[in-house]
Amino acid sequence: MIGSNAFPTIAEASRAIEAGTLSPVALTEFILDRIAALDGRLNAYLTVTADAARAEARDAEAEIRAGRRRGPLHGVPIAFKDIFETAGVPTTCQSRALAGHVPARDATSVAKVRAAGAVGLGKLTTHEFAFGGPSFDILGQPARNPWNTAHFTGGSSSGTGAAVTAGLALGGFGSDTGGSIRLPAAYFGLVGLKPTYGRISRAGVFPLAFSLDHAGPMAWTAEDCAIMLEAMAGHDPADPASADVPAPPYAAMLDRDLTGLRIGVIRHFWEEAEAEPETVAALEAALKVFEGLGAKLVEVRLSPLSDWCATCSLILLSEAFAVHEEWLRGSPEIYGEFMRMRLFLAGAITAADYVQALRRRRELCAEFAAAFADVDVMFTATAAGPAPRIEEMGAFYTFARPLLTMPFNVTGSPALATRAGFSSEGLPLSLSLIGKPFDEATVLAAAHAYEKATEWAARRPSLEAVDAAA
Amino acid sequence: MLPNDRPLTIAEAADLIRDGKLSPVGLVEDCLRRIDALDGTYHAFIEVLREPALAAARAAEAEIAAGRWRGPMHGVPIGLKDIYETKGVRTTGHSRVAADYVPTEDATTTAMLEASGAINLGKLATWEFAIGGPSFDLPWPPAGNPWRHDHDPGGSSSGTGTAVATGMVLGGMGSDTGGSIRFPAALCGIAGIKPTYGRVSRAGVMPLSFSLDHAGPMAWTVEDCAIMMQALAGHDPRDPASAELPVPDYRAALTGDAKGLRVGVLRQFYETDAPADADCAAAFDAALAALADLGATVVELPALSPMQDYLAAAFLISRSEAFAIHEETLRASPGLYGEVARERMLMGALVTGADYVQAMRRRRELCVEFAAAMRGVDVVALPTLPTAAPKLGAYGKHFTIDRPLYTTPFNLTGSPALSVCDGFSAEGLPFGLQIVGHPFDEATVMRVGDAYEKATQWRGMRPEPLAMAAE
Amino acid sequence: MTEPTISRQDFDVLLARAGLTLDEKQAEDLRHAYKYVQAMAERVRTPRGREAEPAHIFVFPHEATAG
Repeated sequence: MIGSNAFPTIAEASRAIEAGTLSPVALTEFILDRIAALDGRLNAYLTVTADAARAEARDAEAEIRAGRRRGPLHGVPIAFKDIFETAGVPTTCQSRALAGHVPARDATSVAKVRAAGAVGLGKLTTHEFAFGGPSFDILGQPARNPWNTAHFTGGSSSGTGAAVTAGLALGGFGSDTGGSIRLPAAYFGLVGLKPTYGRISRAGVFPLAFSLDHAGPMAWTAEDCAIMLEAMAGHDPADPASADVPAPPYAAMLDRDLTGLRIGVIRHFWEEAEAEPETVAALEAALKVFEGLGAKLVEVRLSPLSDWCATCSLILLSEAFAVHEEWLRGSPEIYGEFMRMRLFLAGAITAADYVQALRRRRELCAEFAAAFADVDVMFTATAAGPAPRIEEMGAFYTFARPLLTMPFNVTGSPALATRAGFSSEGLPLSLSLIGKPFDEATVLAAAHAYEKATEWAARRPSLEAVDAAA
Repeated sequence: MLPNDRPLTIAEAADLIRDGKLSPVGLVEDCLRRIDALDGTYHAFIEVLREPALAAARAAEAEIAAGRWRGPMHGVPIGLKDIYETKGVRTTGHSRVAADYVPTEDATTTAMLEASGAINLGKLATWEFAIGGPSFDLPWPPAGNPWRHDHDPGGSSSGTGTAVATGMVLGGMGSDTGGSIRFPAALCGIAGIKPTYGRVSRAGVMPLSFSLDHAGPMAWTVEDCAIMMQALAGHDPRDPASAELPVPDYRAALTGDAKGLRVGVLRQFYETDAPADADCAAAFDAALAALADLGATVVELPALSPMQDYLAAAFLISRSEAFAIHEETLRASPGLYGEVARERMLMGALVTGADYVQAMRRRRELCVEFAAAMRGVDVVALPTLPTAAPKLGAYGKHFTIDRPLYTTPFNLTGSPALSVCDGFSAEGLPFGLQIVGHPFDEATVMRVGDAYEKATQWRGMRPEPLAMAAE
Repeated sequence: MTEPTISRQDFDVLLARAGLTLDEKQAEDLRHAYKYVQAMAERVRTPRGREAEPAHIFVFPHEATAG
């Protein structure tokens, strides 16, 4: 039973809780049992706050019974990547540098979902400081991919991906500086949304690179991401980049007819990334599905993918180095090798490199904004192929080949990854949809329509195989 | 032959022109005569646009005679620092590098001034690309000080300062990245305002440091600056930093008093962190007393971080951005630049990306700190500079590090900051009073400056350039 | 003139990284001025929380949000 895939999505659980047919306490116990049974192999969690979760579930149940249901997240168990601060609960960024660090306050986004009634299950594994991974020489082990534990999870929100995929949480928090929500979403076959820069507060989220960092939800469906985004979004004066732009009711805006929707296809990005034939076939098939739904396809040509990635990487490295330089100079051995080596690389970047990257960023943003003149939403690959084998991931893999996710950290656009089929080996493939600034609604609606028109979401990994691999 | 009368202010000229009592053509001819008589000594101009200016003056005269007076800048002769792009007119940045550069568009501010009816008499000397000066190894000599031509007029808007003070133009444009409007305004004894970052468009002004560059006016009086600001302020989509905020009536804000205003004195900068010369500090103390007489309440500003922290962040940011702008040319042909510009910009090549990011983080902290310190006061006052003008050539390549200007912190914070003349040294060289405001509150800053000018005798004292030139 | 705070060897690495080819005088002048950069780089590193933000985080260009 625990090894089975019989667990609900957020939306399903939410409807059942509302109808009184599902008890938040029972649901939370059920998920805690799954964590106890499966997490030894999946390493999704660094900290499980079982007692607190039970208490929160009981409170939720009592409130809902008393007729005070707060909304769709009320009584729904979710979990947080370990770079989100949680009051009284260790927040380590999976690094020895922060071992034992217990924040006094919740990150703004954590506090917001708690206020919406979500039940917090605990803290999820990540690449070290959302950057250095997959690493075996840091606090704890890296998360494993339940589709095939020999394969990479994508990073850095890997624990979130593993937990949602295996039913160890119904949804989770990720963060995304160069693709850290969307890449694991791709390799786990999930939906992951990096909202617009400024949409969700970054206050209380350990920074990787200030001007590229985004917080966002990961879940099984677009609808689940919409429900979570609604609770997480909103202006926060504690985040200097937070936008004072009202957040619409995303979940209520999902059912949209795609007739006439203009989809800009950035084909040359996946060509430059040398996408594998199965991925290309899946993307072309997905485009057919969108056409079948009434969308119009428009070919979009942008600057070379490598320009976007160079811009993203130079900014990311410079800002990350500034955050970490004290430790890097004083006690570099505190980091795992990958984190250390990547940051050392940043030491060689000049201010002129950084300033030029910022200037290039402005040009690229203007170019992307102009490309939206005749387009409602953009389409490209999330990754060049399915998850590679974990031992293929070296210290500098993010710079060796261009990442298809980075352009949209540069522009700050809302970008969503969703499954687009499976490889012959049974590993998930993924497509990305990108919207205009603050137009998450269109991105979510398009992803939702695609999900309904395909059967991919029904396919779950066989957790018996995970059991057997143990 | 120099006109006998003392030069008019913009405000005076505007009234006379409006009433048909002064011909723009005559006014331009007066200015051209001053240029002819003086500029061989003062080197304020890189290029004088004699014929186009006369043509524009005739057109203005005809328009005004036909009852179409555009406003107080109509028919008023001005000059542009030679980093302001002028369509079809060479814009050199006072550098060999751009000696033959002819822009195909006007800077937004160039076009705005033209639309206001102002008449551009020409392109004014600057430090090379607004950073390298005073320099003696460039195609054009550095400008001289209007009070003593062998003294430094300050920089980098040196030509503007000199041209305004000697009456070659009635007003002019400067730019200010670390003090380049207020520094020459102080040493030339005129008024100059660095508006809030985002208030006046930077589009078409040769950049030095994107995040610290400000464009602004310089003129004989604060009232003249207010008139120019009215023509210059406003949102410009061509400038990504331009703010979308309404522009108040600046001249209407000039009440002639400082009643009810609280003036915070930033004693720490000029007494502790980088002490000013005694005569300079004495002039400032007298200015504070005058402000109190005008009705202001003078209070001490709370302690800030050392001024050197502000300067360090500004230095790293400005040098890094300057190097990024010029790096291609600096790599290919460093010899094209004068020694001072080259070495100052090359410092930016030695800054790491992390240094720059740290400077930006420090900048945020200092902005927050300064905003907190300004809570409870309307403006902050301190001297503009620690000294009066030295001899031309006395400033070394890194003089602002050895003897900091009190201007640069407000480039870092982006605050509006004005310099007005607050007296003279024993040698007859001017000192500057600096007034700093809340973001986008140029109106109060100019109100204080204008009231001070009208309550003191300094605006009645003009340099005697003819006498000096004859020396 | 005070002694430079960086060895010629280290300084040459910086110049090479910045892509600069300078003549001997230019390089030596700059090496002597490097102390200013060094002192200021130290100054902007006052103790602060790791979450302290830079002055400029990312701002959408006008073109990106219009319409």
